[in-house]
Amino acid sequence: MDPLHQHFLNQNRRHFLQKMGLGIGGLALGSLMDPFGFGKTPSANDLLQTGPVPLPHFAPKAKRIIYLFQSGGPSQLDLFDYKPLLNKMRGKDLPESIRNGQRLTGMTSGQDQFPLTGSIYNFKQYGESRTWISDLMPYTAKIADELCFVKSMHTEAINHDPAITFFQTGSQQSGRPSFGSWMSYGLGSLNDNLPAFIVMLSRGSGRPNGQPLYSRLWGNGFLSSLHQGVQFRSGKDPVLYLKNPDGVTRAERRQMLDYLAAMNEQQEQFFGDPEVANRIAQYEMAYRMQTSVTDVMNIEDEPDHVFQMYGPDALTPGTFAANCILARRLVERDVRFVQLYHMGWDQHDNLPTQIAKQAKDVDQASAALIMDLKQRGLLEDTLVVWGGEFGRTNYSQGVLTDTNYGRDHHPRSFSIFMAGGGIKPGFTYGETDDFGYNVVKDPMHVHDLQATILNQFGIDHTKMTYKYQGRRFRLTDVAGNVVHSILS
Amino acid sequence: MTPWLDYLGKFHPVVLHLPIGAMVFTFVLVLLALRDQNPATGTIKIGLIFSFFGALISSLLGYLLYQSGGYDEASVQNHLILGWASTFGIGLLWYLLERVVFQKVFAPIFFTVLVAIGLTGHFGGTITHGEGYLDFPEPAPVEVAVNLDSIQLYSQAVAKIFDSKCVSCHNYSKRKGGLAMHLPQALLEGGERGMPYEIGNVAESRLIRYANLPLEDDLHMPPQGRPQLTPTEIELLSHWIASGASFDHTVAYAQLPETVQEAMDVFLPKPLPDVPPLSSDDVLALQENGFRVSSFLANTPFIQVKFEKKELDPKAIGALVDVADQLVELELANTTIAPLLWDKLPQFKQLQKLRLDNTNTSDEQLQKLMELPLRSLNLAGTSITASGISLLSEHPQLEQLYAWNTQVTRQEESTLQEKTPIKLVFGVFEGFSEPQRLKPPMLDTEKTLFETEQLVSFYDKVKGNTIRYTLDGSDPDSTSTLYQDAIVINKSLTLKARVFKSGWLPSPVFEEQFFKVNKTIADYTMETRPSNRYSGVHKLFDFEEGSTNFADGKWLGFSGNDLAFTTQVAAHETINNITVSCMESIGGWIIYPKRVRVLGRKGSGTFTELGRYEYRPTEIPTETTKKSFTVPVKLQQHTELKVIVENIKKLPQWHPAAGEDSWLFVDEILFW
Repeated sequence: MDPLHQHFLNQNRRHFLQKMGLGIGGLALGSLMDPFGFGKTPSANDLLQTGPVPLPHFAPKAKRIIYLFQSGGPSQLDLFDYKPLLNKMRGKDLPESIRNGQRLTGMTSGQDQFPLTGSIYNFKQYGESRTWISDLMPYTAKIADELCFVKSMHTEAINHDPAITFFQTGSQQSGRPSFGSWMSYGLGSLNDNLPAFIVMLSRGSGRPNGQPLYSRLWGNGFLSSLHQGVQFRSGKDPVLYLKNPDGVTRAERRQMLDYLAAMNEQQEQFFGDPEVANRIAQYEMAYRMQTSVTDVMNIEDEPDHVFQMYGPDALTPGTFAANCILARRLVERDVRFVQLYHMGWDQHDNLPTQIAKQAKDVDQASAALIMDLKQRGLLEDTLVVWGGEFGRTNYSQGVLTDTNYGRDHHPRSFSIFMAGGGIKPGFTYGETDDFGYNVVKDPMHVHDLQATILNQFGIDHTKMTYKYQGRRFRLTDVAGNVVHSILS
Repeated sequence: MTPWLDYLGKFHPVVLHLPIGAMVFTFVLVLLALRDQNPATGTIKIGLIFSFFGALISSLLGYLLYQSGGYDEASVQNHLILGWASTFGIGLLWYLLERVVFQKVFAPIFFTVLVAIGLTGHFGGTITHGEGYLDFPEPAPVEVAVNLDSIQLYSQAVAKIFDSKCVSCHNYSKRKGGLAMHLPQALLEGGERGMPYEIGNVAESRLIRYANLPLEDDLHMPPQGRPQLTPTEIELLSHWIASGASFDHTVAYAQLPETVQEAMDVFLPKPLPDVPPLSSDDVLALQENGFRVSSFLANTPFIQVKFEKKELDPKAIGALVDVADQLVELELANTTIAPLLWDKLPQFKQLQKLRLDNTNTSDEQLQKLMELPLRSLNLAGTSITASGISLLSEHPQLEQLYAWNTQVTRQEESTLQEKTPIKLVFGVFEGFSEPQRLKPPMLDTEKTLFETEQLVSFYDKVKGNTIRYTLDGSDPDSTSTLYQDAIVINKSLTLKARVFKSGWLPSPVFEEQFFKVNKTIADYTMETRPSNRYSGVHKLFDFEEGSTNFADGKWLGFSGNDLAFTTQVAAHETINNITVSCMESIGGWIIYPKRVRVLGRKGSGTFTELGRYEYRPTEIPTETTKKSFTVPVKLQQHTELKVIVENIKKLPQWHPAAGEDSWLFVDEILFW
């Protein structure tokens, strides 16, 4: 749609709202009634276009995504990337031919020695796909044939915040729109009563006081504020300040919003700032969320066998497992992008004890979520992604003892897995060398992953752009290739 | 081997069909003669003599062709042996014709020889046309759209051209000129003259050069009489070579030159079926009736529709029928469907995905779905039974069928799946339904220190939970006190509790110590100073415990030095214990104190030691933990107490930062 049309659309919405004071439903209807202001009738395609550009570019395989972000950098060498050589060479120094000048974080750059260490945990092969999975993830192992492992992920950042920002926005510097915001911008919402992009956080029990996460990770950047991620919390108020104050009825709230909208209308006419219209829309969304959020967050109506499936943690609000049940309830209601962050995967020291707790936090619930989606028929068009921002080193940070070691950040190779959404099940893509340090086959860069995920939603990642400050931006910046090999 | 013998070998394909035809015709004569008691064998004999010499010549020529080279030994073996055997067999028939019983012996041997000839022909065909030539072509999948942003030139076009035009002579079993072209590795290996192309250099690539030679030229490829490469195909191959001849690189369709696009079009999936455009009135009608409509594919009439209300009434169904031609995906989950839908459903000729989960769908209606081109059907949570699934098992297009939470029993599930290639999903409980241990209960309050009494309540949001507790230090069981309202605690004690819930294993024991504090410290004199970042000495005596996060504002930190202070004791105060609550965190360089000492004096006398706690850890710590150190004391008219919590000063040998100053963290000191 060209900007002039867009402008006329706005004009029309304004006039319509002025007359009817109806909020977002009115907004939509307003555009339907006479969108071009010149008495030209809209085509069916005009009516169906949800975003600023006609999408999908091609038939989509996925409609929704649940991104289970494992914040902190889970150790691929203790979970999925089995390297027996490291156990054989335990305590020996990492050869320079392997490290090859890789820059280190300030946490290990002072170490004189880089003693190699394999995992203290055993690995076995599972499923028809014979996938190697460590004993830390028994439930994930049960569903190995549903999963597509990528063992050749690599990134550019070596520290948490830039690395997470890179995964979420395609750039290490903050300020660009988040993945979910891009998706909301391009594809629109599938449910008028809930935001298209919802975020939930949980603390890991392995390292409960790890780094915090910043809300800009689900920010809309330069996109319209309608697309920002909304954080749902675990406590009494899932969304802060959503409840009516005591003594205010829903009718009164409605009346208040109508007057507020009318006043905002005047402001918008005066200044012409589209963010005013966005604000009106957000108030309307909040009004609808007053009922829809209560409904979706009320997990007490889930039968007991569901809690058993997701594990005992699911009974405790705010845990990863409880959030997984909520994530399923959200995608059942067609929320486009649900992002869970589970913190605490930053095992610089005491890795063996910490990672066991982290794995226990997420293993059963992640696997249960995938299988629950499957039995409900949602997995075929819901993509589940599980992974962190980078991997961990094959050598010990700090002193290596018989039962204890730590691992520093490692950007050159790490593992993630995906399920559903048209991704090949029971498949492993990419390989690292015997030291688990460098990728030797089929590397997948962060931008490649983003391009591939967008591809599953029918989006050509090079074509979904937003012009800001004279440049057309996109999630994959100027890079990224769709990895066809992992598509089913 | 002389060249003319080589040349003669090329006549093998000309001659070989003569004996085959003659033998088949002779077979017809044999069949006709079977009826007669004394069959006339004259014509049959002529047929056999003709066939025999034809076969002999054909076998000789075939041998010459084989000697001229270019054939894979293994695959020629069968053809060669069977060819000679057939020739011999025909000769044998000629010899036997008038010597054995016609019906019982001759005719069966004849038939056997015919089978041998047939097999010879089959193996010959395999050499010429390649393995799998006879495989029945699988129906090409009808794709709705293709991803035009990333086309893999090799796998999507180049390999297909090679397969249809080159591979019949250049494959694993038949390597003309030593070259095979059926796989990327084979191309890279090349033939007698090296690789068939030079990456990036079209002019020097034999593949293109030979294709462009005049047809009569001996080097022209594919050879005269074989299906030729079309000019657009040559264009495409040239482009592939020029752009690097990659086997996995992808390129956007729009970036290809126009001629290459044209050549590419042949290999891209078929365009969308032609359906009438969607009218905006239809879309509005759908929206008014409670449907959410979205584009299935931008700029096409195809749509997906989801019903957002609870009752699918005839009016709404009417609106759906108006878009029957354009509807690709339909979601009616969680609704009550009016019977009218089932009569209208066969009109939805494009419908690929249908969600009927948690609707009033039953077995009777499923017949109506058989005519639809459905690929995915969701019937979870409906009342369908095994017989309904059996019916759907015959569906020609269906790939996924969801039947979780239906009337199908566990026993029926596996039998049903065995009978159909459709993926049936019945629900996933394997390994996810064993009874599991509950988590211990959580307290609403973290406050465990109090002066008079304390109300304690459990955080309990889950239905069906029961919490049982004890206050006497014993482990709770299913007969212990049931938790209902907040527990009142008015003395120092240990609260233990467990969660019970049917279907779950009871939780581990939860344990919390509560302290009734006898002395409020308001007046004290510090002898050491905490670090500026973790300061505020009053926090030691505010009854507010810290968490395991050392930066939560409730902790005092001492870097490399001890905590020491004095405080006055009044005569009426009874103090039996002094407890110091500390933290240990290896990553934070925080270590428990090595000892706690309590000293006392009377008036302005000298301090004498009243008690001490020596801490001797037996294991190297790995986790962040909290711990209390209690020193029992007996006061005898002491008026002033001194408490010293001793830092270990330097991080020990096992610590990653051994030798650095260690931290001592204390959040609370109690007198009770």
